[in-house]
Amino acid sequence: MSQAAPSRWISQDAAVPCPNGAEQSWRDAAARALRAPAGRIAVAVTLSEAAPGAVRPHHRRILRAVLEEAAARHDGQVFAPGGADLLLICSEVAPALEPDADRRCALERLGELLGRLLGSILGLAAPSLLRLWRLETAAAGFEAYIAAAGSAEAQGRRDPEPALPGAPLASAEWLARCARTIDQAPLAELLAQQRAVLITPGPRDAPLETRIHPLYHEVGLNHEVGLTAAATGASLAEPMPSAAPTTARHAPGSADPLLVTYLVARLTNRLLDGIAAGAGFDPPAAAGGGAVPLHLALNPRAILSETFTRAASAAVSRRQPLGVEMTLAEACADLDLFAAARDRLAAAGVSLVLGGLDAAKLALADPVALAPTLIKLDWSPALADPASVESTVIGRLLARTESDHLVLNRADGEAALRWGQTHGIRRFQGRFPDAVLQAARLGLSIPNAAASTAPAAAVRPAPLAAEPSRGSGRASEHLPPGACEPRRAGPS
Amino acid sequence: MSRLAETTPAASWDQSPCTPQRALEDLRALIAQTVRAGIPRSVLLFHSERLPPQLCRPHHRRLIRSAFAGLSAAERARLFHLPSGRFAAVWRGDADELLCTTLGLLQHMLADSGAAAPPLLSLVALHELPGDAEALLAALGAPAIGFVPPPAPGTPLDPALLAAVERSLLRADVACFVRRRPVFRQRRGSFQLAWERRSLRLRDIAAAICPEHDLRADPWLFRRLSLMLDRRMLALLSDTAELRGAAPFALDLNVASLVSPAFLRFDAALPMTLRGEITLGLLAADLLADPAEFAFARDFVQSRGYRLLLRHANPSLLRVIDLAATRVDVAEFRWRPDLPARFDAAVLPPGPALLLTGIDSGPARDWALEHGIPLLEGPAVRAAST
Repeated sequence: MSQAAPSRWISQDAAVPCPNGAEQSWRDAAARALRAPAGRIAVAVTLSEAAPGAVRPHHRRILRAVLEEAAARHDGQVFAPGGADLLLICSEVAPALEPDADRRCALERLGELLGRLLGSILGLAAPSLLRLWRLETAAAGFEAYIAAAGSAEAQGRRDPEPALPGAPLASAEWLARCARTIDQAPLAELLAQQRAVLITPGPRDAPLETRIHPLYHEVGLNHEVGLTAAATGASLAEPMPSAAPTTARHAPGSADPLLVTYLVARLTNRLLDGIAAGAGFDPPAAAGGGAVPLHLALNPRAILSETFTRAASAAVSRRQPLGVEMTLAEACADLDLFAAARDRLAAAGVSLVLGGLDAAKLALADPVALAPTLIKLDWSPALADPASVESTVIGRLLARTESDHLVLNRADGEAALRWGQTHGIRRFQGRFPDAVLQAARLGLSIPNAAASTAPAAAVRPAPLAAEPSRGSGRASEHLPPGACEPRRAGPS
Repeated sequence: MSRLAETTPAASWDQSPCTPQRALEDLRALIAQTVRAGIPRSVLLFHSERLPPQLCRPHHRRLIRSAFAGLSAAERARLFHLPSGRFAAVWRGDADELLCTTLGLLQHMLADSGAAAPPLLSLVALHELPGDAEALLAALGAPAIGFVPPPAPGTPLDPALLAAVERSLLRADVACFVRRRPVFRQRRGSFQLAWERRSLRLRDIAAAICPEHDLRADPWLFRRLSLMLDRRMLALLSDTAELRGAAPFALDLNVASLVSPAFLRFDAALPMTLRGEITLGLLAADLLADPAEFAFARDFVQSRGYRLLLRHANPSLLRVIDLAATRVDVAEFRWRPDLPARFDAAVLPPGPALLLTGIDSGPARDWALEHGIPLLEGPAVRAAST
């Protein structure tokens, strides 16, 4: 059995673009295979067709390792046409395997594994990126692929390879620069703010403006400012697998997500210090009303710290309610610590939001068991399709908890609002609900519910009666579909 | 910085893990944990603050420290350098000989100093936990057992320190920090070795390399160092000499490490006899941080014959995590005296095998056998297997 030498797996680690000689070799090998197609197949993983940034270097590395192992068993070879795709040319049957049955179904198993791996990275787009041709019968298809890949190469279209494998993580100097930015830049530049809303039921023709109220004011790190300000020219190394977004949204590009968490924590610490210090610090939500809770991202350890204690008591004396958001991962890192933190929050009258929940996380974990005040669920278009896997998973959550405990996040359009209201959800967060709230405060009517992309204006909110965000003990009211539909002045 | 250069693993027991105040908090936390879990431990406390000034010179302190260092050979021993120059040693099980040696050395030191020395008995106190916990805490001047608040988040990270720590980690010989503990499979009342658990405690290494910096306050730093350690462990285990004739083993890793080049090298170098016999332990928080990446890594390593283990899968976690959905092969949880009350076999899905660790007493072992827990680890099991 031809054993692929380990060094082969590593040296072809796909960080270095192939020199011209190597590029020719895949075409030669393809041509040879087409001349003697008996029992030979070609498998292509067309990563060049994936959405940009979806396939990271470590994904490609693993896919390549899987193909290399198959190449060893099936007497074949792996190539990288155009530097982005992966191409395996080999025998359909694995000659080295025993018994006979294993030989034949080895290919099926390979296809299944590649399908699962691509599915994890790419979701529904995955199947179109995996192609197989039996060279005896489907030579034409393979030739078409060769031609397309060849012309793509000629046009110089390459998948960007941002980092070498094993490169060092974000450097200490870069970290220090980011930290200084967080500590010293004016708060107004650093903060990303978003208001969540509560939509109360009302008669069918009552305008949305009269039924939309601020629920809480979420404050986090503005990634573009915070990171790029410090990151000019910095060499960010191997991108790590993406972690859950905390309150702030993901930075574009390949920032180290754990680093982002650190910076958010640092910013939050600065905010808490400011709140605790009292005079001279104007927390973003204060402006007039003051009854709207201010929400910050904190992990259990931070909640149990002295800084938080001071800030919480100062907030009470200023009559500025606080709220805390954390991710499932942060809660589950140490459940004893989490329980202590939750108790501390309850004692201080601070609400707890579990955020960043999507179908993938809900398939693995049940946030209701952690007994938060609110569960923040991320909207995705897949939810609009009741037959989708996401809908099934979310449906299980909806069955387990009152809709009054749910906030629909990223509710940036009519579809999201409609879905939410159909399921009895009255609390929403996102650019769109924020804009609608602002418009309502300015006394504007909402001409076209779906199209509003107006950025949230920094307006002093009128002192509206804010519904408390703690949903415990309230029976859910089931709203008839369409009861809260925003009024449209024109055709939708 | 010089402290980093001169530190060697052998000297780690000589140094407190961090500032004396932190050591005091650690000790209190350990006492609290001992009381909660009911684990028997012994504590030797030396009240250096009661020594007259003539006996507080640096060389006396060194003598005391080296006397205590002898106790580091006891089972699960930990040394604490407390405020006011006091020393404490905590250990489990029997260490009478070591204790005698230590006391003898201390007695020598006092005798050599002349008539002004107070009697040894007024300076040392031996406490048996969990019974003596209150007395010990009073002696430490501690308030009642409560939750030890961790330091504030976002404490400034000194970039030079971080760079130095990473350089030290790259050079350090981590092999001597590796703990190997056998895991047994129970079959009709007898125990067979299932695999050997090889783990690196980041805290021990951090104590040796960066004693002043508190890792727990800094999840980013902790995780970054643990990723580096993963790389070192995988490199260590890619050495054919290391694995020649080795028994099946288990290893704790980050999800990110499963798709790293270091893992591919380790996989390529794995002897044929160990293929399919390796178990990889993951943390729940790691799974939940990015389920898609976890699924990707899981499908890859399981296709290569590795088994996956979910760490700390005790009953409270299993109320949150759907074990069957994770498709791990083993769920590991730790023995606690209150476990029988909280364990509900009905809640567990049929899939993953259960591994109970930390079985340190006969009754615990019997409970595990009665409930058909297939995989067991702990001193009480090791003793019974011989």
